[in-house]
Amino acid sequence: MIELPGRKEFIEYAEGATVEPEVQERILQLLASSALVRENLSELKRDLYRVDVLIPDFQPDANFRLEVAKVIPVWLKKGDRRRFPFFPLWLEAVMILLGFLSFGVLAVYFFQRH
Amino acid sequence: MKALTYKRAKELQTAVDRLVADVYGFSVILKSGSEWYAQSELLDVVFLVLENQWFVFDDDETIPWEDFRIEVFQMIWKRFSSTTVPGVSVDDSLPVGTRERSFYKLALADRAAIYLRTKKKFSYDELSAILGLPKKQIIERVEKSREILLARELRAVEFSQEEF
Repeated sequence: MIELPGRKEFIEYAEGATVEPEVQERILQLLASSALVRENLSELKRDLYRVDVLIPDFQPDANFRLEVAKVIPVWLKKGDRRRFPFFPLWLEAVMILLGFLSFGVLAVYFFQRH
Repeated sequence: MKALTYKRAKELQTAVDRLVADVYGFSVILKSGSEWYAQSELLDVVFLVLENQWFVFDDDETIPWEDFRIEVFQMIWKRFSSTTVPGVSVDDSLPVGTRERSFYKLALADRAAIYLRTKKKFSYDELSAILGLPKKQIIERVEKSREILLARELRAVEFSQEEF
C-alpha cells in the first residue's frame, strides 16, 4: 500500500521548497500515475504564481549602494583608531607631567630673576 | 589580526553589499513600501552588524555572510516592527499601485511571513526563528494571506470581465 503525500507536502513541492527525497518520490509516483493530479498541480502552481506576482520586492539603487560603500571606510577607520589610538593613555599622562614640569621650571626661573 | 589588503577590503565591501541587497526588500515592505524611511534604519542595522564584528574572514579569505543571514533578518524584524511609518496610511498618501495595495493591507506579521516565504524561500523553521512566532501559526498566516491575495486577484479579474 503506497502512502499518499499530504496536502502540506504537496504545496511545498509546488512551491519549489526543499522536500524530503522519500516524499518527493511519492509525489512523483502519484504525478506519473494520474492525469487529474497533474492538472491539480498545474492549477496550484498557477495560483502560487498569481500570489507571487502580487508581492512587491525591492532592490537597492546605485545611490544607496554608494551610501553603503561609504560606511565601510568609516567603520575601518574607527576600528583602526580603537586599535592604534593616536594618543595612548600612558603617552597622554607623560605629556601632562611634562607640561607641569615645564611650568615649574618657568616659575623657578621667574622667581630667581626678581 | 592580519593587515587589511586591497583584496580583503574588496571582499568585505562585496559581502556587505550582498547582505544589504538581500535584506533591502524586507525592510522596505515592513515600512509599507517607503524606501525613504527604510534606508536610514537599514544603514543603522548595517553599522550594528559591523560594530559587532560579524564579518569575519574565513581561511580561504572569504566572508561567509550567509551564516548570519537569519540573525540580520531577525534584527530587522525586531527593529522595524516596533516603529511605524509616521503619518503615512496606505489608502491615501502612499504612492503604491492597486496591485501592491492588497498586499500592504495585510497585517505586518502576515506581510513579513508571506514575503519571506515566497521571495526569500525560507523554510518554516527559519521563519519562526526570524519572526519569533510558533511554526504552526506562521504556516496559518502564510496560507491565510495567500488566500486573501488570491481572492482579491480573482475578484479583480471577475470585475474586469463584468458587463455594465
